[in-house]
Amino acid sequence: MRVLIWLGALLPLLYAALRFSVEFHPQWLYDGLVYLEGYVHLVLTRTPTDPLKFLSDLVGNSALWLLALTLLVTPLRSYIGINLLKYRRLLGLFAFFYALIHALMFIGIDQQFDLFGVQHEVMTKPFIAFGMGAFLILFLMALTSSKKLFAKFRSWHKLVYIAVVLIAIHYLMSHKTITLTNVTVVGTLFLLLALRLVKR
Amino acid sequence: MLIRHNYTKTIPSNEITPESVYKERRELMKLAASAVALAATPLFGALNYEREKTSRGLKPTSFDQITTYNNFYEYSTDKESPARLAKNLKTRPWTMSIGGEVQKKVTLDIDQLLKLIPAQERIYRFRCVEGWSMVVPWVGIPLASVLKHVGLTSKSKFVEFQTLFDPKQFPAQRESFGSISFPYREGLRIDEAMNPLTLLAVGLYGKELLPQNGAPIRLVVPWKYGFKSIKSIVSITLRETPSHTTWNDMAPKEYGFFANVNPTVDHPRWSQARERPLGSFFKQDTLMFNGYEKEVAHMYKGVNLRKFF
Ligand code: HEM
Repeated sequence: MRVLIWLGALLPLLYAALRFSVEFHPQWLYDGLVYLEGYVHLVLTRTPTDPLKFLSDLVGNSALWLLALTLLVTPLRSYIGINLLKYRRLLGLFAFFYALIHALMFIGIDQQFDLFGVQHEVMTKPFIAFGMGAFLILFLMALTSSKKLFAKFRSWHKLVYIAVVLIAIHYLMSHKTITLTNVTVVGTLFLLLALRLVKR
Repeated sequence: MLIRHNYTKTIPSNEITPESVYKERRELMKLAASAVALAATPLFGALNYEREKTSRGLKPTSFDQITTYNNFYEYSTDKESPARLAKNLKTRPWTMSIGGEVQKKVTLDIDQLLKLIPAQERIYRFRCVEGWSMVVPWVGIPLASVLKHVGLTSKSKFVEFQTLFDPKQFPAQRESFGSISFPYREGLRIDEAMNPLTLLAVGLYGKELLPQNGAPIRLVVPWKYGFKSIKSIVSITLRETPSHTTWNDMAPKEYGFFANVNPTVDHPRWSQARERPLGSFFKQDTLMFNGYEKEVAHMYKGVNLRKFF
């Protein structure tokens, strides 16, 4: 199971590697991808046109979905009786790992490590402030996620509810229009929160 | 409404057809006769056009990138889909009506129009409000020449453009949720429309436009954010009052009527100071008026660009 989670959680990175190495694909990989007809093939054999946006969105979405999986652990146990509690920390840390890349891309590439610039963006743009708020909560949770510290800071981890709400808003605000897909994603997040709250 | 008011402060009527535009066109026609260039690939329909003499040091983004990364909400809100969904847009025959406050209302067939006014290449920067940018070698005709053709009046103060509304061809026009309202509309003040930079593009890289790029005819206003450059135009209406523009109507706090590229005025959600050139891992500084300050800044003298963004 642990191996499976590692592999699954690293898929986004593998995907990115595949997309950025298009020019260096060995023949067998090229032939393999040609096998996947149509749109999938078209996408997989194409270097991302807007690489920074591609990466930032990829890791942002990965963080979001890994966090959703982390939230799924409790309802899985209480409703269906599947106990994955052992792996919840790992999932959560992977979520944080992608959020960290996402945040570092903003701080390092967008703002070129100008901390006043970051501060300015957070102060003037609610969109960024929500993201930063969520990131800080995830950061705190990651720091206190070891067995010993978790015992002590357990109640702090309730902050994840706030983080998820912030992320939902941040996610919706990152688009120019709100589509059905966007609403579905946010709906899923809220459903997961609700499932945890209802059955205790 | 207060915002709208300022736009009516337009140029005096006697300047509506600047002589310079007229002269420039004569020059260009002479040039066109001497230097007709033919593009190689007949597949998309090669165009007759006069090549741009200088690229001002701009390196065009690749044809592949320009034609696979498109904001075309009539198809989809994601940028890769239009190239796939737009293949069968019927672009011939195509007519464009020009009406409203003009001397003679006309409906022009696009091929007729191209015989009337010779096409020329313009290598322009293109900056999206989302923060990415590219350089496109457009082929097109100056909007000013078209407007002069129909004749302006003292009441021609604004121009409104409209994209084709055809839910059979544009899937997103069939859906009621999750996009913008259709038909898409955009607008310019008359002096902006008459500016020599403003182009009605019919091609890029020497070939007819592909549908995902706004075939068969689209606007290009290089000093404004990309959403101003409306695609697949079916009508141009001259008005005395400010034109409707889709994004400004929908979210006036985020998208202004002018929508001039301005690195010092941020979008409420993201900074506009820098941009991501397509294909590059590095950001670059965004230029005032997207680098066309010399050509266009005079139109906004005395306008508070922070307020009228
Ligand atoms: C340090 C705090 C953060 C900053 C500065 C930040 C910044 C951004 C920016 C600039 C965008 C892209 C907007 C655009 O240009 O389209 C974005 C999108 C996004 N962010 Fe964040 N973010 C932060 C934290 C987070 C966190 C903690 C998560 C999730 C766990 C997250 C998930 C997303 C998602 C899912 C998107 C949308 C990607 C898409 O369009 O598909 N962000 N963020």
